[in-house]
This record gives sequence, C-alpha cells and structure tokens, in this order.
Amino acid sequence: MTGPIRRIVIAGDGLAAWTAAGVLARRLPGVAVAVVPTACRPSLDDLYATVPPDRARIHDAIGIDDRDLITSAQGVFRFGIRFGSWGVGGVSFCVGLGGLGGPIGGSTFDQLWVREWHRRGQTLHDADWPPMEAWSPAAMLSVQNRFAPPSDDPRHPFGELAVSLALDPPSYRALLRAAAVRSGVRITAPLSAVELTGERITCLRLVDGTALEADLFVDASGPDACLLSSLPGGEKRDDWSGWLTADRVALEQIDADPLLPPLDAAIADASGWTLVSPLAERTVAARLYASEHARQAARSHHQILAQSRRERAWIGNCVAIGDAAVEIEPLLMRHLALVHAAIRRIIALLPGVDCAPVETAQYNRDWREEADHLRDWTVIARAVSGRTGDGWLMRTELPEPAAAILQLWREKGVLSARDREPWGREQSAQLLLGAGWMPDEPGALAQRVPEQDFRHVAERRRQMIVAAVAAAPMHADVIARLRGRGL
Amino acid sequence: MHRPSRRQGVRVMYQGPSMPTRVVVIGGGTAGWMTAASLASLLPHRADVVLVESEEIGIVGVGEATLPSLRAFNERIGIDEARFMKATCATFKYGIDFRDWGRVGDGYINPFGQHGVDWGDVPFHHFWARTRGDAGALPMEAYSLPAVAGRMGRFAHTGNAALGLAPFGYAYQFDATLFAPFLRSLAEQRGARRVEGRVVEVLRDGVSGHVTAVRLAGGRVVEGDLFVDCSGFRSLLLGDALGEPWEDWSRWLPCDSAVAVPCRSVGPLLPLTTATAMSAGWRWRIPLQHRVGNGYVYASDHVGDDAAREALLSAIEGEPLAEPRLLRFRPGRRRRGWVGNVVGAGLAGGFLEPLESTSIYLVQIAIHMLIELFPGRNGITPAATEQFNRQLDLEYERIRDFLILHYHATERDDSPFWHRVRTMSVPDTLTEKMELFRRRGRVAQYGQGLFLEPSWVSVYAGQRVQQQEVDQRAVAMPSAQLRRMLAGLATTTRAAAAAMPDHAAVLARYGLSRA
Repeated sequence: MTGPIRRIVIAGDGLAAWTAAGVLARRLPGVAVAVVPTACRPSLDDLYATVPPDRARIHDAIGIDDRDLITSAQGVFRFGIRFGSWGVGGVSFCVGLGGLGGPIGGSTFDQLWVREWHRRGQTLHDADWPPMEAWSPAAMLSVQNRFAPPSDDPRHPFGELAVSLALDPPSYRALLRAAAVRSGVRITAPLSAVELTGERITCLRLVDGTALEADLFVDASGPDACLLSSLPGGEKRDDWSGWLTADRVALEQIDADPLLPPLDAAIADASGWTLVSPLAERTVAARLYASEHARQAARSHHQILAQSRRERAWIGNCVAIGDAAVEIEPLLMRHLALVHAAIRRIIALLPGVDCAPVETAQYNRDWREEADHLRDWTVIARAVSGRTGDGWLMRTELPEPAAAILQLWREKGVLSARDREPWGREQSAQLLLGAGWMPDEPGALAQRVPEQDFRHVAERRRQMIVAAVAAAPMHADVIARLRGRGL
Repeated sequence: MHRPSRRQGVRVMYQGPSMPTRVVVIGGGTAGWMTAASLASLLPHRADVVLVESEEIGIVGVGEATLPSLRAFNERIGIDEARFMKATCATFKYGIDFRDWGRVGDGYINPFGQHGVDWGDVPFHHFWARTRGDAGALPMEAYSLPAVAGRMGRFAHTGNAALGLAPFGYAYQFDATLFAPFLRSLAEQRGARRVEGRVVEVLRDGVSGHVTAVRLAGGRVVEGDLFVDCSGFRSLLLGDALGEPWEDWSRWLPCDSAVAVPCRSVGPLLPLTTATAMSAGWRWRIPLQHRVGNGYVYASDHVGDDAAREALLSAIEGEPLAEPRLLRFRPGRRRRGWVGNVVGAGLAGGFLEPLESTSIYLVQIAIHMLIELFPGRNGITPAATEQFNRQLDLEYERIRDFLILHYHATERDDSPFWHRVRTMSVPDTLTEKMELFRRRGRVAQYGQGLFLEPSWVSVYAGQRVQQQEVDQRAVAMPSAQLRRMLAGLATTTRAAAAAMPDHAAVLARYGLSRA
C-alpha cells in the first residue's frame, strides 16, 4: 500500500473536528475531507474556547479573521489568566501574555525583580515593591479592563503584547462548520460503528448503512475517542489523576460583568476552582472539582473528566486530536492551542497511505512531549497555590520533571528552556512569583546589574506601561464598536 | 522528589551576596581562558577566579573555525568584534565546504542559514528534491546566500531583508593560540588571577570526596571551592583524580589522530572552511589573515603517521610555515561533566573531532550552564549538577550523531576506511533520523541546541541521501511554475551575493590585513 493520502475522514462534531476539517481541506491540495458526526461524550471544547495569539496560522487557512469572531462568535480579547485566591494567603495574581520588557544588563527581568524583592526584605502581604505583573503590559491592561492591540514599534510598551480571543463555543463551531463546508468538506450521516483490521480502521459504518473508507481517520470525537479507543492499545492511557485530582466539571450561572475584563479567570476555593470567562453576551462559568469532595449532590450539566493522555495519539491510520488525545483541566487555557498544534503537526508530518510506524512514531514523540509539558505546568500551577484542602491535596509526589523545575527555580531562579512548552518563561515567572514562590536567591547574573540602574530602568518601564494603559480604551467599548453596536 | 516546602508569610531578610566561590581553573588555552574571562566578567562578585597553567605544557592550538554562537559569547562579555579579529588574525566564515564526502568529486557547503524559502509553509528542500536529476537542476547551495557569497569570496554582516531571502549568520576563523592570550588580558583586567605552575597532586576531602586544592610542582598549594578542569585530554581532575568513566565513541568515529601544519596562503581569501575527505579521514583548510591552517584528521589503524603527514604536505596549497605537529585523541566524553565540585570544560570533558567546528561551542555551552547554575548560598546542589549534565548529554549526543552522519552517508568504497564507515551500524537515534528523511524528507524540529533543521538538510542534500517521497503539498505546484520560482530564487540569490563587498576588502576596512 503506497501513495499519498487522498481521503481523510474526521469523526466528531465539535470545535476540534470542524477546525481540522476546514484546515486540512484547504492546506492539503487534492485531498477529500469528510466529517462523520459522532454523539460521544462532549468535550471541554464545548464549554469554553480560547484561541491562542498565533491563531492566524489556522484561521487564515479557512478565511476567518478576528473581526468575524467578534461579530459572529461573541469574541472578546484575552490578555492572560487571573488566578483568584490562588497564592499564599489567598492572594490573586495575573499571568499576562507576551513579554515583560526584556533582559537588562544580561539578566532576565524576573531575576532582577527577585533581587529587589529580597533586598527589601519583603513578605507578600505588605510589599511596596509592585508585584511582577506591574511589568506585564498585558496584565496591566486586563486589570484595568482596557484593550490595545500589539504595537509594531518594538520599543513601545505594547511592542511585545500578545492577544488571545475567547469565543462562544456554539457560535464558533457554526463559523468553523460553515468554513469547512465552503472548503469542500462533505458531511456524512452519523457514526454507527468502527470496523478494523489489525491496527487499521478499514471503514466507518454510518447510521444510514453506508461504509465509509479513508486513508486517514482523525478522531476528534471528544474524550471517549470513539475511533482510537477501538484500536489495539487505543484505550491505554497515561493517568494523571494522581496529580490533577479534579474529575468533574459543573456549569454554573454567573452574572455578566459589564466591565468585560479581557481575562479568563481561575478562582480557587477549598476543594476546586471555577473557570470564569466573560464573553460578549454571557459569561461562561464552570467549576472543576474532585467528585469525592463534592459539595452537593450531582446536578445537571456535569461532565466527567479523566485527566490523562493516550499512550499514543496516532495508531495505525488513526490520529486523535483534542480531548480524544489529551484530557486535562483547562487551567492554562491551552485546549484549542493544542488542537491547532496537532493540525499543523499532522500536515507537517503527513505520512503516505501506509502510515509507516517510523513516521507516526515521530508524530507521537512530538505530541507526547507537548502533552507532558502541559501536564507539568498545570500540576505546577496547582502546586504553587497555598491550598492543601480536600481535592487540592496532591495524592502523590509531583511528576519528576515538574519537581525538578520547581527545585531549580527555588534554589536559583533558573527555568530551563524546553521545546514545546505551553507558554514562555515570562508566563512561568509570573505564575511562580505571583503565587509567592520566591527563589532563595536571585539568578547568578542578576548580581552584575547595579541596583540603582535596575530600579531606574524598571521604574521607567513601569511608568511607560501605566501611561500607555491609561490611554487605552475600555475593552467593553472596543468590543461594542467592533460588534457595530456603538457605545 | 518530595514537594518543596512553602514559605508562608515569613519575613525574608536580605543577607546580601554570599561569600564568593573560589573557582580554580586548571589549565590555560582556549577553554581555560574562556572560562576565566566569562566568570570574571559575568560573576565578578560571586566568583573569585584563579587560573593555573604551566608554560611547559603545549597548548593544542591549531587553526580554528567556529560557529555563530561565538559571537553571542563575545558580546556577552563585551568583546568588540574588530579588536577580537585583529588580535586573533581572524577572517569571517559563512560555512563549511565539504569535498569528496558522498562521492569523490562532490562538493557542497553547509552554510549558516537555511536554503531557499519555505513556500506555503512547506520546507524548501521538498521543492528542491522534485527537481533532482532534471537537466539544469542546481545544487542545493545555489539557493543559499551565504554559500553563494562564500564561493564568490564576498562577505556582509547581514542581508537585505527587502529581498525576501532567508536570514543568515556568520562566524569566525581564527588562530586559537592568539585567542587565549587575548582572553587572558581581559580576564586579568577583570580580576582573574593567574598562577604559573604544573599540577602534581589533587587533594581531596576524605568524607565528601570534593577536591579541596591542587598542589603544584614546587610545593605551592592552590585551594578552591569549585574546580573547572580545562586540562585538556589529560583531564587531571575529572578523569584522572575523580575517575569519571569515559564513554568511548570510536566505534562510530574511527579517527584518532591529527597532523597539523600552517602554510602560506595562495589564492583568494574565502569566508569558508574546507573539509576534504581523504582516504582515511579528512583534511581541514582554515584561511586566516596571515596564513592558512591545515590538518589531516585520520584513523591511525587505516593510515600510518608518516603516510598521513606526507598526504597532508602534498595536499596543502603553499609552503609550510612550521613543522607538522601530531596529536592523538579519542572521540567520546566523560559520562558526566559536573561531578562533585569539578566541572569539565573542553577536552577534559569530552572530545569530538572538529568536522563541524564544535569544540569551542562545547566549551561555551559548559561555561554558559555553569554560570546559570553557579553555586549560591546553598552551595553545589544535586538539582544543579543534574541539570548541567542533562543539558550536556543533549548537546553531545546531537553533535555526535550529526558527525557520524557525515561519515556514514557516503557512497565511497575506495578504501577500507570508507567501507567501514559506510557499512557500520550507527546509534539508533541517528538511524531513526535517517530513515525519516529517506522516506519523506522529514527532519526533526528542534527549538533548542545546535544543528537545527537546515544543517541536517545540507548534509542530506550534499551527500546524496535522497528522499523517496516529497511532502504532498510540494507536489501540487506545477512543474513549470516550480522551475520558474527556483530559477528566480537562484538569480536573486546570486545577485544579492554579487552585491556584497569583497571579503578581503571588509577585513581591510576593519584594519586587518594579510601579513
């Protein structure tokens, strides 16, 4: 069996499925793409949808831009994540996207900040040295509920700004589905059964009786992974529930905030945390908790979450994306970023019809590294909270890489760069410092920068950010204008 | 590892910097003085640096080519390019010209920068692969601005972004025996101290096993908290005193000797290092301002020392300027680079032949990691040494595999040496990479470390490792359009190269002239 892949079938009916359908159809010339709707357990994609700063790499392929998303999918901007009641003594902090102003005198900014913090003998409660987020333009815009686009001028405070978008999942799905149809994607009858031979799917049986063959099957059917889990070894998972104990997601009702903060929020409580994501017309809220510590009896709209990743995302001629590949609490808001990365990776590593093991093994290696790094940082985000109550308690020791990261940070303020991290050093530093995890001493290179010089540069940067933020319009006004609704 | 403890609202009084760590660098040469200069420049309050070297012991110092990363090293410690180049008789380098590797008569450049441009996100080499074998098809290097410019003897620091060609880098070719003294004066200006003497004994703590001091011939004792072993192949501390096991790689890299001789320069001053495959190894040519450095790296069980010396002398372009010098080495590394309170940098920690100019890079990486993980108030910690060793593992392994590829990816069978390297089994990590490329031109996407995708592509293309299939997306472009686009790209590249100034003229502008 040789030759290029010519027929791709995607199983699913959510954001992952429709994104993959449109992009694969556009980016792979001469390839026919069909979508087979599935009625498996819904994925977290149906709950919230934040698309990353580099979303254009995917959206451009299917002719969707930010304007469309704002007018037709309740799109609002996102500058990062606010961790509510998360740190020592219940302190809240922000992790802003984008840069922190760059190194000074050969030292990263965060380690110079740490040195200054040490110098003042600070605790976290009465610091008169501003928190790290004061140097994140993204964080400062978001706490003031303002919006500005990234600047082309690298010296401007907004020169290193990065912006995500949060969307209403059902209307985003509709946009993606329409884009897929425009791209020539065929929609079939729903899935009835999966037929296999060895490690390959031979065809999908549809409810109308037809047998649908393909060269490549993409399982975007959500956490049940209807296709992958039927393949030999497909049900095998790396279980993360020992570290990430939340296994339930419950929708909550929350009043919309008229200020429309450009932030996703994760608000901690004794036994879980609540995701709050204000959109243009409603606010998404969902609580994540461990069922054995449930506050009340089960209510409606509960989703079960088995935090884990598959052992392999690609088996035979089937590759799983989205929740079918990785299930994880949305603490770092990376679900759709992972879906985007998976689609780009499928395209970049696309094998022939034989789906040779040596080629799919490369896909699995890269995917596994990315998934495990997201796990590490999600675990770290949990670990740095001051909480040890029910549901927060880590049942086991941290994954070894996460423990090593925290140890090196604690000792020396060192963060080693790895490929395929979920976010950059600036975000890692804001998380750790915001939650109060201070290195015992600042990074070695900080010492070389005279303290006066640093304070001078830091204060100037901070003032420039304050001024630029004050001049920026209110996020709610910008959204209203873009939606054509005036003020 | 247990969950680290939290500090809950405890007032942390700043205690000021801890007492400086007494660092003793064993050995001068490039590794020793790069270390001393870096520590003195970047950690002036954290490190108290003493370097012990003996003028009796000859420095390895043969003409050296480098990688673009050296520029970052120089910038970091505030070395001005013009002064550096003047002091070390340096020229610029756009890449390495590999001759006779895939087949006798072949030649290709591994340049500093990718080839071509990625149309529609599809890596360029797939488009190039489609034209392989066509009449009038150009070699991969025709689509690399630094390669084309290098062959023309041109040089510019950067390209014109408006042309839409890929960005590129550059490095230096220099006299390494002059780099060490240059760094020495900088290091001493910044507070490093030099002690003349030969180490005759390594003193260790009976309980911890840490090195406490070295005793020199004549009795002087030099104490320290941290020792950086830059003693070369002898690896006095890491290998000898601490007995850190040696991981031998000679089954994949059979060369164990080098004969080196400088000669008079004949012909144009190209910004390229040349690596020409020979019957039992390869020969380097490194053009400096004042002379050309040459060497034959060979496997002594395939060619005798006399025959190797004769082969080198008959191949060099001009009159020899010194007696040829012979070196022996073993390819491989100490299993760990940081053991206890000893860090190995340079040859003391490991050695890979200079086929891709990586020796100074490995020194630089060790220094960079040491500075990042430098002992603080809590001294030398397992987390730090483990991180150091992990990073070095990654770097060494990747370079090793890349070098083995040069030997293994050959069609040559004209000597027992080439037969051996062509048919040997290679590390699994390399086998996988080659198989992935052979099937469909896939190259691993690294973000960190050395030898990213473009380097691998250069060697595959240059040494006739062919991909059976190309990326499907590259197939879609109609042949006529593809030929037009490639022709346009080659023309633009050539024109951009021709517009660059002459390499020798650039050197002259720097006040650098041929002796």
